[in-house]
Parts: sequence; structure tokens; C-alpha cells
Amino acid sequence: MPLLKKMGGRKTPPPEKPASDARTVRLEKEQPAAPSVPGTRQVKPEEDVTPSQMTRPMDPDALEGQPTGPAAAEEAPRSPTLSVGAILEGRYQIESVLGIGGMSVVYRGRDLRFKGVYRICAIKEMIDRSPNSQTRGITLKNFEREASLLATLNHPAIPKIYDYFVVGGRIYLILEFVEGQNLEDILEESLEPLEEERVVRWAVQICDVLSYLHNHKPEPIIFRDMKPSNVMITSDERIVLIDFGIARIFEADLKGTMIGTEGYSPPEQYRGVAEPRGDLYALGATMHHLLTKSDPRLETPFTFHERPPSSLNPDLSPQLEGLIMKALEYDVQQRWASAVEMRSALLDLAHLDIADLRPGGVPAAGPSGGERMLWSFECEEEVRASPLIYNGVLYVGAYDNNLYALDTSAGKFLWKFPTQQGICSTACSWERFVAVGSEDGNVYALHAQSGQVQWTARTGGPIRSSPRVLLDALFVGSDDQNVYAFDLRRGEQIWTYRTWGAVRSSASTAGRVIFIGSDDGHIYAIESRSGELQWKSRTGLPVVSSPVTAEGMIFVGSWDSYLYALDQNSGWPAWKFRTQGRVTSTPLVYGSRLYVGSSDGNLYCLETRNGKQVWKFETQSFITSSPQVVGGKVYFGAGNGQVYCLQAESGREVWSFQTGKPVTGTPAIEEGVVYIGSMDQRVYALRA
Amino acid sequence: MPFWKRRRQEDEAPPPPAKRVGMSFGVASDVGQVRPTNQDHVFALQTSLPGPNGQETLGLFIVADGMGGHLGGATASARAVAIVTLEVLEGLVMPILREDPPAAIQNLMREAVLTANRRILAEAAQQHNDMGTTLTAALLLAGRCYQAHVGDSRLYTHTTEGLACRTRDHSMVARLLELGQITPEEAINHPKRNYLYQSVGQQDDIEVESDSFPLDGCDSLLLCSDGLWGVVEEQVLLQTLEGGQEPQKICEDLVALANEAGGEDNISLILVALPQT
Repeated sequence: MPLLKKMGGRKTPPPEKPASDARTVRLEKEQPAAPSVPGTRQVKPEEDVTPSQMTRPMDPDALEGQPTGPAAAEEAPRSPTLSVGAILEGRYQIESVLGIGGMSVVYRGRDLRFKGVYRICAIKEMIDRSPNSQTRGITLKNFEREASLLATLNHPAIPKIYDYFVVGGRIYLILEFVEGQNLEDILEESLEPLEEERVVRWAVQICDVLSYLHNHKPEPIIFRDMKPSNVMITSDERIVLIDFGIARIFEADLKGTMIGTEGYSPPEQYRGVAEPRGDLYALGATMHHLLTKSDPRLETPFTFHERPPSSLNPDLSPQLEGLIMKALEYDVQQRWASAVEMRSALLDLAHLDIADLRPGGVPAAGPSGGERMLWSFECEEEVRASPLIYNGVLYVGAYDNNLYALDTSAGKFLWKFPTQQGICSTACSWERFVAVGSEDGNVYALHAQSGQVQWTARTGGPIRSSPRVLLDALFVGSDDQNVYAFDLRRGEQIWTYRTWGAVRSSASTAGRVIFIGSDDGHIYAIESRSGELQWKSRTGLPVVSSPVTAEGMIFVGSWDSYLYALDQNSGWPAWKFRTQGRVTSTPLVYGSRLYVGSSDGNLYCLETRNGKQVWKFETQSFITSSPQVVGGKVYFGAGNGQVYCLQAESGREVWSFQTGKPVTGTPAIEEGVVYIGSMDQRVYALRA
Repeated sequence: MPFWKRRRQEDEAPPPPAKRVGMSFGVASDVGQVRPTNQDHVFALQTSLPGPNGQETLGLFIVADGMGGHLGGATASARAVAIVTLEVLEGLVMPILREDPPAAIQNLMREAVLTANRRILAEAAQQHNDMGTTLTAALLLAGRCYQAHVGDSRLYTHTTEGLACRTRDHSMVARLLELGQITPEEAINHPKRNYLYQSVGQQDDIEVESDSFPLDGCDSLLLCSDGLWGVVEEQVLLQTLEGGQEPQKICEDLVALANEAGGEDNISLILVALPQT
């Protein structure tokens, strides 16, 4: 993001804004002069170079000869100081203006010395009109430095300098004319992030030239301002670095001036430290920008690790992402050790890309469908419910009316218990018992080992809600619109609470309160002992999703397409997040993140504190399954029959497994195995 | 049987958690010792109203520290305060009174700040100035605080554990500190210590920091501009808060302390004392 310097009342705005780059316009707040503290690593105030000074004539806005940024209309470009046709030193004829920056103008010129040929050159003129003599001094120094630096360099990716002179108090550099387009313009013209392969090829070349600079003798040269607008791409895809205005000879341990471009510069540069690995950071930032189209100047500084490129461009290969993130480490020691090392990693990757990556950038590593599956078990009807794992036994209900008990290690059948109708409710467990609700309207409490009935409790309608246990009571909703509390030992009814719609949501508990949704569109908070209403909160449509509690909040989805976060004590909605379809899926809170599916086909990852989207993953099919997170990976099923495993942090797909019909239930995960049912009538055990 | 006894018998459940009512607050905004004008604005409101689950106490508190050429900063902070307040009244208070479904509070506050951003940006463009403002807003309702924040004003909670800052400064120096690139001592004199990477009214895209937290165990809330936190040490802030004075007196004392420390900037603060449960 552009830096906005806070300004007090005493100071009037500067007479003219920096002319070139709208993005770097900043505002100055009056800053009382800080007492200089000896011994602190303080940057000298006179060297506090403003972004306008950092903006150089080859910047994208400027190259067109007219600013194109958002503030362009407000900022008339400075008029060039030389008119077309003017001749400098009897030799260089001005042909056109290429760009106007804060401190210099770049012209396209013709070298008249070579009579027979049409030889063009770039003419860079220092035009600083700063009323501040100190600032002028710095500009002049930078200009001279650029000239003498370029004179000592010889590399195909660095423009050659032909001449350097002063005319009428103005300074001119005559440079090799680089025909091409800068990377910022290329990126702006592209509707999508740039191609991975192309970016890698450029990056290899950039590492080449950086390595040349960093190995400069007697002292390394730090470019200090690597960013898309400072890289030209010629018609044959060669890169040329332009603008050496702030490059400097590296002197070990010398604290220099804080300089560079916000967004691309490494953190240490803000305390005046410029060293070779800072250029690698800026190259990483540049690559991140090219591959995501997310402009780092518009983001919170140094947040690349919160925005891994794959979260913005899912097609990106994980290898390249790792490579870029290593360049972007805050800690210099954690980055690539040198441009050479980064270059060889890029070359390895270019090789890898062709051999080992499937289209779409998903690594082919890991077991394929056959190896993924450990076992499957076939029921006689659809499996819509979610499995429960309890003491090494898997309990799952099917639409064939049965609750099955299977051995988790091999999927061996242990027993089944027939109810009168289908089961889509998930079982719960306590002590030696499991309980499940059935479409027949009953809750059955069974001995976990034998499947023998302990008790049966009756409701007035089908049960699609899953029973939940709190202390010595079991809570369940029924299509008869009631929420029931049953005594855990005998199944006697403790209380009922009447809502105005079928209750298909399952209760969650916090303290002595249970939270449950109803098809009447409300979320209810009910005291667990008395059945008394504590609060209710309204959404627009049925609440089938089950509330989850975390950190004093309730999270729940609604068919009105929102995911709600409510204050647990009062029911006031703190935030809501809109998806494009019904939210039947029950959210999962894991750390500071929340995962939830929607019938719009996306699995969303949100920040729990404010509902901000971190990433989403598209399945192009409905998701009613509730995600589970284990070991940094999120697992869920979708309407397309797939079971997905994604990286919880980035949403990148790790693997997927195809079943024969929609997967509506929630996976149970234990000891590296994912257990999940499918409407293809099977229960699967998959390697996590 | 008298009705109160009957009621008592029926109602065996423990009472719902007590609602926090009757917060009290103090407010101060001072020009300081150096600046010719005060570009800060503050807003404080407390009301009690019938809600869907009974009588509710609602508090809205905002501090805005204006910046930008001439008097633009003062305009921006006043606009921001007014826009956010009106949006909250229209989006939350009015619907409660009308028994309409309540807005999601954090969404409402975030949208309110974004609205303020758009309008100030448009007004600044018309007037060809570069005004902007920080904005830190806290809405208290039913035992929870909902916050929205842009810039480097701050919201603190005061508990028996001491002071905790609930907001992040959107400044380059704060980012460098977060990353461990500079030390707190270096931050004090860093040449970019006054540079914000976002503010209200100066760029199209801003990210409003939004959060909420329960007020359990919280004695008071302090909202303030950097004219206070930048010059008065946290230890001194804490001592003053714990001095046993009324909120208004504490605010005035803190302004005096900031002025004694040089009063480099405008000083604005709101102190909300919460009842103990």
C-alpha cells in the first residue's frame, strides 16, 4: 500500500504533487523533529527519500508519456524541458518523450554522429526542481552514481551508457535504447496472472544479472529496486534491468539510506540495510506479483506469507511457490543464500515442470485411487449419514434402515441394528452406548459392543438431527418441530422445546446451554436443564447446519446463503459471510480459521474473528458435508462424489478420491484414516 | 401463594448471565502544545433500549485523528465520525426499535467505515486536497465489544492483568516491529514512524480491521489517538486509570500528562468504565 504520512495542521500541502507515479503519492503529517539519539540505527532525515524520488522515469505511467494511475487526472504531467528536434552537444537529437518521472525525463533520441545509419538512444535528463537544496543534492548524487556505476558494468541485461554531460546546469545520460515493454505494463495488459513458465524463464535471467552485480569486484552492487516496472522484456524475451539510480556498492555493515519501493523492498531495507539477499526478496515479491496479479503496493506491507501465491492462483506449482516463499523470508538467513543458488533452484524447477507435473499444477505424487482406499463396505442403500468412530468401531447409519457397526481396521462387519426406516442421523456415544435417530421418529440407545437395545425414545416425526450428549442428557431435534432432552440412562423425556419448523440441525453445547437451528429460520439457545429459552436469533431461511461454539461465539450456516457468527451469550450477530448458495454444511473451527461448505460448490476458509475470506476451493458441485481438519489438512465430500483433501492453510488440493455417488456426510478421521460414506451405498476407509 | 414466590418456584434454572448496564464514560480532545488546530474528533453515546431478548445497553465510541493539508484533516475526522455514527444508528439502533432483524454488527461497522472512506475520498477529490483520518470505533452491546479500526489510533482494554492493545497500528513502523526488524527503541525515533499504510479517505482500497471480544473481566476501555499513546508511557496510563477517579477526571488528567510530555500532537481519548459483574 502507498504510505500515507500523517500531517498536522500547521503544514500546507506541497505546492505540487509528485508527477509520475500515482501509487506513490503520499501525504505528509507534520513530524516534530526527532531528537537524534546517538547509537541508534537512525536514518538521517535529509536522506529520507520520498517515494516520488524513488519513482523513476521508466515507470509504467511515465513511459506512456502520460500518467494512467487513479490520480492521473488530477496531476498534469510536467512539460518536458526539451522540445522535439532539439540537439544536445551537436550530436543527440530529441525525437520524443518516453517518460517523465519525479526527477528526470527520458527522451528517445537519435545519435547524429553515425551519419549513414539510424541509431537511436535513450536520453535521461535530470529535471529536479525541488526547492530544497538538500533534496536536489541527493538527486544529483544519485544521477552521478547511476552514470558512473553503469560505466563500469558490462552485461547484456544492463543498458550500456554512452555518454554523460552537463548542459545549462542540467545533467544528461545517454543510454542504450532498450526496445520492449516493462513487466508492469505486460502484467497490466494481461487479464490473468502471467504464465508460470515464462515467469520462471525471466526469473532465471534476472538471477543471472543479479549474480553478476552481486559478484562485482571489488565490492558487490545491490540493485535495491527490483520491481516489475524496472524490468524490460525485449521482443525476444530477454530481460534488461533499467534504472540504476539507487543501486549502490555494497559496503558490509554500513547502514545506508532507507530506499526502494514500498511493497517490493525487503524489511531490512527499512532500517537502512541493503545487501544482496534483499534483491532476492524483491525478486520474490516481483514474481509473486506477476503470478498472482495482486499488487504488493496495495497490500499490508510484508504479508506475502499470509497470501501464498497458490491461494490467489491455484494453478501454480507447489515447487515454484516454495521457491518464491523462500526468497520472501523476513529473516535474511532463511532466504536463498545467493542469486546463483536461487537460479539453480529455478532451473531444477523448469526441468521438473515438464516431467513431474500434471496439468493444473497438481503434483502426481501420492497414492492413486486404488492405493488411497484401504477398504470399503457395501450397505444395501445410500449412506447419507456420517460415521462415528468409538473405541475402534465405526458406527454408521444407512438408508436401508440399519445402523452398522464395523471394525475400523478392515471394515469387517460386527453387527447391524434395524430401525423401522432409513437413517440419516449420525450416531453419538457415551460410556458403553451409542445412540442414533431414525426416520421412524425414534432415538435408539444401543450397547456399543452388541447392538442390543438399551432404550428407545419416541418423537412425533422423522429424526434427521443427530443426537448429542451433555452430562446426563441427550439432545435431539425432530421434524415434529421440537427439540427434545432425554435422560441418558433410561431415555425418559426431560423436556421439549417447540420451534416453528422441523429441527434437522444438531445441538452444540457450551456451559449449560445448547444451541440448535430450526427450519423456522431461527437459532435457539436453550438452557439444558430447564429447556428454557435464553435467546433466539433470526436468519432468513431454514437453519439445517449445526451450530458450533468457539471462543464465546456460535457459528452456523443458513439456507439464506449466509454463515453467521453470533455472540454466544446474547445471540447478537457479530458478522455474517455470504456464499452463493444454501449453507447446510456444519462449519468447523480450527485455530483462528473456520471451514464451511456451500451448495454454491465452494469450500470456504474464513477468519473466525471477522469472517474475512482466506481462500475458497471450487468443486463445481454442492457441498453439504462438513469439513474436518486433521494434521493441517481439511477433508470433506461433495455432490460430485469426490472426497477431497486440501491443505488447510492454502486450500491447495492434496488429493481427491472418486466415489460413485454424492458424498453428503462428514468424514471421521482417526489414526491417519478417513472414514466416509457415499450415496453409492458404500462406506470408505481412505488413507489420509 | 404470592406471585413472586410462584414465579421463583417455576424458575429453577439459573438466571441468564447478568447483562452489563450503566457504563460510564469520559471524553477529552485537546489541541496539545505544538499544533495550531485540533484535527481530532471523538464521539460517545450510551443508550438503553428494548431489544429482542430484553432491555439492552448499547454504547458507541469513536476516535478519529485527522490528517492532510490545511484544515482538511479536521474535516475528514468529523466526516468519518458522523458517517459511522449515522450508519450504526440506521443499521442497528433503528432496526432494534422497529423489531426488524438486527444487522450483523461487524459487517455494519466495516461497511460504515468503507462508506466514510468513499465519501471522504470523493469530497477530497472535489476540493483537491488530500485529507484523511484514522478511525477507531467500539460498539458495546450485551457484554461484547465490536470494533472497527483503520490507522494508528488505539483501543485498549483494562483488566486486572493490565492494559492490552486491541488494535494494530497500520503503520510501517508497527509492521517492522511485528516482524522483529526493529526494536521498540528504534521505533520511537524511526523516520517512518508517522507513516500509515492505510487511513480513511486517502485510497480506494482499505481493509477495515474488524474484531469482537467479550467484555468479561474488563474494567474499562480506552480509545485514544497517538497524541496520547505516543507520548504517555503505558505504565503511566495504567497508574492513572487505576487512580480511583471518575472517568472524566481521568481523561483530563491524561490530557495534562500528554501536554506535560510535550503535547506534540492533538490528544484525544474516550474512557469507558464498565460495571463489574
